[in-house]
Amino acid sequence: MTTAPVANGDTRRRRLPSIAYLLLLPGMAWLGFFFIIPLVTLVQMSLQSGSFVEGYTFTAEFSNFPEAIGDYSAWFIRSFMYSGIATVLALIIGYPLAYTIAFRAGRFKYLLVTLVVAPFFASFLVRTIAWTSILSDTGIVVSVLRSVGILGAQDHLLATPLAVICGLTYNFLPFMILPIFLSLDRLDISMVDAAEDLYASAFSAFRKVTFPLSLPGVVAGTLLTFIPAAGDFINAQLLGNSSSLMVGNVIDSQFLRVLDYPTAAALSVTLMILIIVPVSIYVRKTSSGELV
Amino acid sequence: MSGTLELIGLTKRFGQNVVVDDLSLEIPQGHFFALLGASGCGKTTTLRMLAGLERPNSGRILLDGDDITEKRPFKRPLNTVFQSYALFPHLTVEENVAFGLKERRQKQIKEKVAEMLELVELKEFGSRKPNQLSGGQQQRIALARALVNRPQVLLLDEPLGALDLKLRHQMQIELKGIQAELDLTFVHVTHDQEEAMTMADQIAVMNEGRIVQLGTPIELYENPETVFVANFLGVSNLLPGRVVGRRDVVVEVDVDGQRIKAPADRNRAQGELAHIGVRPEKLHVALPDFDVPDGHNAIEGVIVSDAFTGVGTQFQIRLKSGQEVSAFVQNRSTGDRQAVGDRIQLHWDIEHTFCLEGREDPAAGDEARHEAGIPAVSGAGA
Amino acid sequence: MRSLSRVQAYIGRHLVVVAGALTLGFMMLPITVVIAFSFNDPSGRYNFTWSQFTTDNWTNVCGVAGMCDGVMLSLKIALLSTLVATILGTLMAFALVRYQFKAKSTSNVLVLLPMTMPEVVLGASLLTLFVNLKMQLGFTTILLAHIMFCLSFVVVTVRARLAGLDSRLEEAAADLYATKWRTFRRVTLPLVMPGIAAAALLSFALSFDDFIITNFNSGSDVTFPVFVWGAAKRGVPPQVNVIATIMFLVAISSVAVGQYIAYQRRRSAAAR
Repeated sequence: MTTAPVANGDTRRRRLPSIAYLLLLPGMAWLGFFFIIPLVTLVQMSLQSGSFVEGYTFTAEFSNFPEAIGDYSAWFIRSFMYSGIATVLALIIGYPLAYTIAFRAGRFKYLLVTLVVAPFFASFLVRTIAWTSILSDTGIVVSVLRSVGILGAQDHLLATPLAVICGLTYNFLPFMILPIFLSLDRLDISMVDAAEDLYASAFSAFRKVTFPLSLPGVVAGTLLTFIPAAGDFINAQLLGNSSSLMVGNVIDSQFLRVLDYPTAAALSVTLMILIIVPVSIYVRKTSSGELV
Repeated sequence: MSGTLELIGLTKRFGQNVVVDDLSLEIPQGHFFALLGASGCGKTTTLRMLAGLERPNSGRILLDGDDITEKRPFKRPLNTVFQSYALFPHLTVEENVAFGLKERRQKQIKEKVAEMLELVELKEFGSRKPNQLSGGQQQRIALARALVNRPQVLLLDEPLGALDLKLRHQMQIELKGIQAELDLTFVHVTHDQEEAMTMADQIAVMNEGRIVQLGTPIELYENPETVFVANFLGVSNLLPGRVVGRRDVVVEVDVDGQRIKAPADRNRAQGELAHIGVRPEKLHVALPDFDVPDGHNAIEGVIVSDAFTGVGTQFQIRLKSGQEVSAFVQNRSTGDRQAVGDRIQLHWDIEHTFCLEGREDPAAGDEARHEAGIPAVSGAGA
Repeated sequence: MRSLSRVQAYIGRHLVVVAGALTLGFMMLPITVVIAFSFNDPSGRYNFTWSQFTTDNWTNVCGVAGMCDGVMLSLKIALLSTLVATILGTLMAFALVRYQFKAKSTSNVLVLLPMTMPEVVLGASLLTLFVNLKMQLGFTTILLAHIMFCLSFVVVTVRARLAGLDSRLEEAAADLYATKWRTFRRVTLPLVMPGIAAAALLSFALSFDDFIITNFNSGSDVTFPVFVWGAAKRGVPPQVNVIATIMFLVAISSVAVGQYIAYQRRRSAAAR
């Protein structure tokens, strides 16, 4: 730790770094104790063996991983499939709303932002449960779809993978819409004028100018939707059936009901790696050169 | 090559606000045409209607006789250089310039882009992103991006507004040169009267959605038809008076007991009230006993301030009525210079006098000038 | 020909708005159902189908065993974790924006990392820590966990506000004879305050509504979301909808108040 001024000569930065460390210390200590160390203990637990009754001991039991992954590969695949579809759906239905709010809402712009954000401060669980009444066999959606013939008399919506995907899409939609709205809102509208002046049709101007310029928002939105959706178990539990459960459900039950800590920990670590690796590749790829 | 624009009764309202009011205008092919006015006068809206970015409430726009009023911007053979350039930040310079060509699926895009970058002398910057260029370079790319499409008319929306003074002067000359070389119709929107006068063949001065006067820079400067134009383009001394005699070739106006003459063809006063106008650099400053030559007007006053600017001296002179006028005297005399407090006699050629309608506000156009950021006392255009 | 392309352009221009409105409807549907069913008098255990209008659920909110205790516990945890996370997070944000130091980029990454983890992983890893430490799961472990995940959101929110602040304002204050401390109190803090307030609101909402992380670390303590989760299997009482409706109303009014203040400021700035 040094008290010398920073070499770049920028006067407003010429402050004691020791104060910075002092300000950081409590928060960093908290993150160290309750974020980093838990990750270490999680990895450590994933390599233990034994049973809950006799106690688990650390034996560097790497076989926990292939066993857990082998036993629950279907759950992993479902997790990534459902959350992937939900992310794509959220992008498809979220983008038009973000676009409308940014460019077509006029003085209702901030009212609409409020409408998008506010419900998500009201209980996640209760709103998810509300989907059970919306999608239930006696609900309006099913009766309309049945009368139109899209759904047969024996078909259901509730307790299907479709309901789970619908719930995931709904629950993480604001995380898609807000970043896209923010990047569209910042966009200089004369860019679109310029594209049309240069012979681009409205659609072409969107494809070549508006959309590429909103890509930072799209990237942030897809990440903020995909990551929590992949680890979610609430939607699968409340809206799905026993064959549409996701890996989050397994981790939950292994930890809290089966009490097989090493397997649960191995599943958690695997999930973490499966999310972190593609996400960091995606971020690196989209932020290098292709984006502004 | 063609590119004659005709605007017929063009009107644009935003809510209750009439921004462009029944505007009719013909812009001949190959002209460098300037729309000049203060902010909010409707000049940019007019340009945006030409580009198709704004739809008029009524009126028509004809290009070589074809009605293009309802055409979407991407169907018009016109291109725009935008105020803040609007270069696409996610594309390279080359991709920016190629944008319009690609949209129209043209051939030999590479060659055309290279040729155009050469014209604006930025050949080696093709693979850079716009934000890696200076303001002047971005300006040229915006120009290249529009010109590469060989538009029949090029629209320029305050294209030099973001540049510093020196660069602006340089770009004025370059733009004029490119226009002459390509023989294109340029429609140039600006609030800068000096820029308009330097570049344009014809200037339309706009105020409150209407054209107040149309003409060449010399016509506008030498023979303004309204107080607004007299004040907005350059500096004018305006002296209120009464018309006392109208003859074939001159009108006579009484200004505080002095008889001032103006050519009849430069008289715009309808009734008795008039403003006599004369530009500061047309005034001669002489001793009170000086023998005023024939064909000159004369009026007495006292020097209240002088400012030496090298090429000349800017005098403020108070007349008997208490009104102050300014006079710009070139640095050519060899004898004694007049100083503050001296009683003097101002005289000037009758041919340099203009006579405007006296019911107009003598300050009209001053405010627009200030908004446009032009100092009230400049080098008097000398 | 021309009129056809105009019709197409018209539809094209408004298609986006139509699609946007549909999405908004999709987003509003569940909360509408939640509010509507807070006035339902369900015929059986399950509050899924509409039977008859009543205001009993609102007048007798705490009539369901354990629910209001859950709400109280959630409020207590949300308030405490908001308080601690806001203070710690604001200090960190200042350090990260206003100082240059070696570990800065590492610190930035560390702060962001918890936000890129799925909640199950955060919850599960904390559980392994508490199991290793043989800590009794309950109020304390919930609080420790909540402060951790709120912290990142506070830092990110306050940091954004602070980074947008013109540091010349502080130099101007210093030039006008303000000491460092006075500059902080009279210039910096008032300007950053909206960011801190937003961060506090956000972390309160996150903590109050968290289920997944809490689920792993709550032991036998029952917060409101844990109560709802348990009730979901047996049939959710309509009083739960009342609480959710109140949460929604509080959220929408605090967002509205915030935007009204911002609007007033913009307007008075525009008037000047």
